[in-house]
Amino acid sequence: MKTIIALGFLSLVVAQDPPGTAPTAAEILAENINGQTVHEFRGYYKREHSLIKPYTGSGADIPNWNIIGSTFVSSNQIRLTADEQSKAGALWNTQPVWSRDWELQVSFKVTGSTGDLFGDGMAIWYTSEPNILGPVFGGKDYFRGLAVFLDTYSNHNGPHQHGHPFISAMVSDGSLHYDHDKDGTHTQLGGENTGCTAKFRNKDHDTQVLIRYVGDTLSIFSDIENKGIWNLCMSVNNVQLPTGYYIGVSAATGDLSDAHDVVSLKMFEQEFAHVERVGEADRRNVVPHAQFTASPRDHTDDARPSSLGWGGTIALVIVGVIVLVGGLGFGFVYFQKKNERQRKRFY
Amino acid sequence: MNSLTWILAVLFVTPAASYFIHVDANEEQCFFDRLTSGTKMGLMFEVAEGGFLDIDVKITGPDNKEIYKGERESSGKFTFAAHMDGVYTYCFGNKMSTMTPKAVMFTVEITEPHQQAPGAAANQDAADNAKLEEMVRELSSALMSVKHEQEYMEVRERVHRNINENTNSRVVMWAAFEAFVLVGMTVGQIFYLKRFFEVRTMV
Repeated sequence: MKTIIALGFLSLVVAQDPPGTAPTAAEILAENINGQTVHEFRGYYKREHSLIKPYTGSGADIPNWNIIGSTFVSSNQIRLTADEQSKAGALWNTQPVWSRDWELQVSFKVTGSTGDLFGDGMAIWYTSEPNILGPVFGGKDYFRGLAVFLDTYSNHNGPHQHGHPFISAMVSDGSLHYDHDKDGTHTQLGGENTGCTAKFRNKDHDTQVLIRYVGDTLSIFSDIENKGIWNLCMSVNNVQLPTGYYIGVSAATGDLSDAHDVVSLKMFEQEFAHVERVGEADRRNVVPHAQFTASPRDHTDDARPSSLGWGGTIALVIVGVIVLVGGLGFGFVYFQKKNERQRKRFY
Repeated sequence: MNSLTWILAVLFVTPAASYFIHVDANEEQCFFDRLTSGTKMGLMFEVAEGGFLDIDVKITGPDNKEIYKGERESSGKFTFAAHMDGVYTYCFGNKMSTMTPKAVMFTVEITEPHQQAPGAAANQDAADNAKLEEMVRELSSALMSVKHEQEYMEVRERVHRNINENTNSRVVMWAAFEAFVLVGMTVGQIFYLKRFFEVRTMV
């Protein structure tokens, strides 16, 4: 009996420990950013992967960037979608990113005139195939690389139970489908509970997000309240991303709409000492892979709102028809007898 | 009834051109371009003369949907991608004025989607030619940008020169008026003091 209790306790202790208990150097570096000012520059500024006002330089084109879809560039902002239905717009870099470790700081704004019904959201991409519009917040499904979703509309009230707008991430090698009906929790990086709720919609100021990939660790920070400090949103280690992919930002609206604006993009290359194993020096052929993702779940349609089914519906229709015919018959008989009574009186 | 003037502004073969138009009071002038899907269109405009130097701008797509609408703007620079084939219309409206005509200078720049040559270069000469062509295209684009910037600066120089000359003329007139008032007061003071020293003899 004591041996059984001890074994149970030991297994409990073992089960409580996640794999890799010691925090890595990259995780410590990422945790130190939490609470730091957003104006601190870390690393080397990559001008060809950045975009700041007034965007167009001296001509009408944007150097190093390509706009597709409903994107509209003005002096103050890049409007990926206007506050209209069924729009999709994207902004893609034309230069591949050859930095192994990097930070991307995105300043954005989501506004809308409707109070409670708005959607769909934005996505920030690091993927192998740029300049393609698609169903995932204006980007391509079955992508290859990394996607960070700024999801403003909640499609599903159920297993994930988190509030929206929600910031989450996804790493795919081209074989994963983003399930919109489940808000992407089937393939979410770090699990379906990783990510954070960020109320970035309809703020009077620009909201910011920092995506940091250093030491095979992906960390996302946000500054939503314009306090000028970063708040840690999520941090997942053992994320393998190759070099040579493209940076992009996309947004989409469906039946519900919002205006999605990109104000600035800044890319910084970071220095990090890697322990290079044999064959790991060249990172361009690495398959995008993440060790910690949501456990696979099959796609099941949501339960239908009516529990009658077809038989119940048919029975209900039949009962309705019977009641209707009965009412008509009663009315007919009543008026006929009324006419007879009137004739009797006249007689 | 507001008069609507449609003018064919830019042909397909002309990628960029500058125009100087006069929009009368209560008038709206529209121009259009035929674009194919994926083409990028840039519109830069500057109000050069008239009133408060403001104009209403509206850009409409082939499906009669508004791409952009701005009211009372003095200058602007917009870029968008054509989402479908058809006619893209941009209008300058002066409906807010009842008397003052406006002069607007605008530039339209159309960028074809970049035609990537299929397949890799067959040999070194082909690769060198492709690189040379790419660099020549970039140089041409940069020169066109410099030309547009110079036209823009020329219009701004004219506007600022008008403002400065207007200010200078007002200053000169005020100085002349001050000089006139000063001389008048001086002569008045002399005659006024002279009255005190007039002696009338009593006989």
